[in-house]
Amino acid sequence: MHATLRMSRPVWTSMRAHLLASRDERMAYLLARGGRWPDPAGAPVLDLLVTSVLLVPDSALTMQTGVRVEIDPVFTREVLIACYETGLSLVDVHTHPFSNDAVSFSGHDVVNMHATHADFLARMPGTPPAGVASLVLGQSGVAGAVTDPGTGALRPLERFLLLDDAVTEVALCPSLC
Amino acid sequence: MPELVLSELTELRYDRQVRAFGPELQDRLARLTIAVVGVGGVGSLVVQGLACLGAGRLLLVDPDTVEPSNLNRLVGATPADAAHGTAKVDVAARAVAAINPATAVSPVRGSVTEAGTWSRLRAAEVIVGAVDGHPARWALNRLAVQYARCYLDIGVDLRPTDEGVGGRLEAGGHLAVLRPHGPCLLCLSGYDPGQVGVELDPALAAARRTAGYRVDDPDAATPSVVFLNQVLAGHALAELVNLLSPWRPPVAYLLVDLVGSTTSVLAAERNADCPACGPCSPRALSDAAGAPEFRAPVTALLPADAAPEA
Repeated sequence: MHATLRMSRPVWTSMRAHLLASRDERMAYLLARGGRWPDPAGAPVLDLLVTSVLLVPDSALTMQTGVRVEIDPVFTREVLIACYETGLSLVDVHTHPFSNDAVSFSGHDVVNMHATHADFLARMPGTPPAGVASLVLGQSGVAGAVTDPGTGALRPLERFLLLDDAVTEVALCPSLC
Repeated sequence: MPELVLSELTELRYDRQVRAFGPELQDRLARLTIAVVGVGGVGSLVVQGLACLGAGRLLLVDPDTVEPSNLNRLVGATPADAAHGTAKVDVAARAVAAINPATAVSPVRGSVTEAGTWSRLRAAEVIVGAVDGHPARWALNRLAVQYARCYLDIGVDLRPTDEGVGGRLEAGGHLAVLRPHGPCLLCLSGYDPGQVGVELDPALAAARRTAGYRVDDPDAATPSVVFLNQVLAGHALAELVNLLSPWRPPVAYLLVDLVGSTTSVLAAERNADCPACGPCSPRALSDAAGAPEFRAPVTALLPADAAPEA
């Protein structure tokens, strides 16, 4: 499966600036429309088109340090309900503010993604197609991971496109071992 | 000259454009799937240009076969193709293979107003439309709006003035460049929604003609000449490169008047109430909106006195 995330460049720029403005980790949720189709060579594609950004306020975080962030489950529950009711896909975003160069998911992040992604896909109805992914932002890098809805395997996000007057691609750091 | 290994050939192939646009453009082109819908007189030139530029993958869509009258402008077509009725997408694929074997080509012989073909176009990140008629433009606009794709619509217009054949001509065309957050083709009056329904239903169109209502015939032979097509195809390729590697201010709508030797760039604004991309539209809904209905809403479009007999 090839996975692509697409979102507006101005929205991405604003979100990134906000999330990395703190020396503590911060979070956001991206709500996206999912699409699944074969590429011209026949390989399955998961396309996540971001339509809304929810910046998680620091007050909704039950733990927030420079190396760890945990969100109030009540906040997440409301987001999941919104996804379920409107058929939206979900991308969680958090920061590693002390990563100055390449950034990657921590072991804790990977364990967490396995659990939350599987839970999301199990709860969502089959149509419209839904996907779930995660991004981690460092000061100069981005890494992404997505769960294949077909196999349940956690995989690196392959492409991250920013839409504006021009279409540009964000270079993704290797995210999973 | 010593034999070049493939990597050296690839590097040299793009050397002159890398000197202008940098290596990033080559990387972006190589990773992109570009659809060219309509590979006739204009579309085949666009395909040729994309192969030269180094597009990674092309999805080519056209339902038609080569006819003798196409040979004055169809890139790569031969008299044998006209004699055998070769599919235009196969001619275009053959031309790409000859120019640049590294470009993967997926030819689709079908119309964008068929659900299956329309759905296959979801895989394209950029769509170039070189199509005739309102329904094809409506279908491509719907796809671009629904899946947030960049869509470049090309149109050419060549016709004699009132002086008749051999006199002065009207010769020009347009390029509309639709971006995910910008105006759609209907905002730019790029097609007539009423005509879409009529042209999608040949029986309805025939009934309207019989009843005396003028209906443009999309299949009628129209004048066409290669140099006008080349101008419009060139502008489309230039703006496609501009989408990937900006080298000039973005163009939203460009008008070419070959008689006056002028090119005009027009600003374009979204219509907040546009039925195709406004609040009640499938904008950015992706698969959640499904494929559109490709049959004409007959009862809504048919004048009472032009109803076809059952």
